[in-house]
Amino acid sequence: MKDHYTRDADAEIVQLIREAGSRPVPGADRAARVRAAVELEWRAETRARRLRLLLRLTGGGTAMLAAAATLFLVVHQPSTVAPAAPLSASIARVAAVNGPVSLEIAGNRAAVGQTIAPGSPIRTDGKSQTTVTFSDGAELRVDKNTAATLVDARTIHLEHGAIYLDSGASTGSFTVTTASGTIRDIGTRFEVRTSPLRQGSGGQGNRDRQVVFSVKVRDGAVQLEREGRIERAETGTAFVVYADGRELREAVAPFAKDWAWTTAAAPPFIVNGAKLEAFLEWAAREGGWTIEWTDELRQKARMTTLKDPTHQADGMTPAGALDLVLPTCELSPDFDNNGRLRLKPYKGIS
Amino acid sequence: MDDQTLARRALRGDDQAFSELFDLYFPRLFRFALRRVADEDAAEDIVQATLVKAMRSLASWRGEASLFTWLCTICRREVHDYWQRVGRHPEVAPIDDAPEVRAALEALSAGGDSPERVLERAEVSSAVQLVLDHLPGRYGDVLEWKYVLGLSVAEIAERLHTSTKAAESTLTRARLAFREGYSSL
Repeated sequence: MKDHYTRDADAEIVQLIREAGSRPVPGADRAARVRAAVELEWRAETRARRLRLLLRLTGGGTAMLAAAATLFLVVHQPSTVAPAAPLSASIARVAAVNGPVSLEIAGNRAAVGQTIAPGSPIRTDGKSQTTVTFSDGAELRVDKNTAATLVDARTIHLEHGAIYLDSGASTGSFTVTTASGTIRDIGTRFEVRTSPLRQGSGGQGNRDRQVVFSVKVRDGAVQLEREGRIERAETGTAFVVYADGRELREAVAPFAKDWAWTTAAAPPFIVNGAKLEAFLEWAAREGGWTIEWTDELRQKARMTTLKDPTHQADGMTPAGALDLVLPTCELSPDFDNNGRLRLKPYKGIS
Repeated sequence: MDDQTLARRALRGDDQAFSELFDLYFPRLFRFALRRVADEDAAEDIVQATLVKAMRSLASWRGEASLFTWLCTICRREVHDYWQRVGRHPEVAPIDDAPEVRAALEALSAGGDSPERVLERAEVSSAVQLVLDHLPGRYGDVLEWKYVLGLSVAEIAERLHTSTKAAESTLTRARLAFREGYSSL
């Protein structure tokens, strides 16, 4: 072959390459998905490397290890144990507390507006829920009977219970660590739920069917690392692990009832004085619906200011609030089975 | 940007270096995986896992082998794990998994000397594309842009963010590297 090339090598090369044609190229969607996941890892590694370097440079390793050990105790001890002192400035703020308050943040009962330092444990009981807002606008909603820790502004450790993350316009990604796997978001809204295995009656069969871990993606995508494997879950997907070890992917629509608790945990939308457009966008986001906007509707929604002086609509579910508010604007909601929401002229109560 | 510079800058958190690294190696790794699993979705998952693991251990890459060779080593393990998970085995071994061919291609990636000719029966087009994938840097892309897509040197220069003269020089070196690589198979 070498001898052959010496005659007219360049012409031969050109001919060979031309005849071979283009190499197969992975689709842009594949490239985008993989890139997002790899970039997340790269950024996380870069941050970790900088931290390690910083610790070496400052000789702060021992202090940080001590802090980490304290944090570990805080995460794993019952809430009666005094939590660690805040490690640094606040990273988030309590935006809502629902139900009788038994939520503890950094050793205190939570109150709306309270700031949260990194390393703070958040615990809710069977009657309480909360929403925490990060400084970049991302939201963490915490369901009942949950124990979690805000490790830092980008990392949440979930011990048990359920959390819902809405990364919103936040630019960085979040990491949720659990005993069953680590989840990284790729610009999304998702729920992570872990449940301790229930003992007692019901038999082995019932225990095997118990869900011990799930990740539900309402929109966007998350990357799940579990038992050495990396999986991806996208909009409308639930990754479910059962007590007997089975792993299933199930469908969960963005407007399914599964998400109802997340609205209950959030601050209420104050209807009085709000623009109809803002109200509709809130309802669609919380309800998981897609509004079929028309130019006419958009115009009307921007021009209309809602009045609810007695605050009847505050704290209602999105569907309930739509039913109550829209007739005052001569509109009524019409949902299809795919979660599309059309607004029709209101024709009175039939 | 050579492999060493690319890795060093990516480790420092340089966005441009990450982009270049991804753009340079993702398509090649995808083809590498696809040849082994013949399923685009599986190949995507394998390459994602490969690159995620590579990002975690990039600091451990010492540069003895080319970056692509190192990535292929990780990718091979991911492919192996994939076949274990699905409980089957590949029916056909890809030609670049033959030890002699692998040695030749790795030498090629590293810009090393030509190994003995080992691939007489391979289909020419596949062999050409394999060689293009294993050429150092952007040589494979440059040759494909010029001779398959018919881009002018000026257009190639634009894609490489360099001058026309530098692009011409790259093209010459790419042809030489290809000739050497192809004749080594």
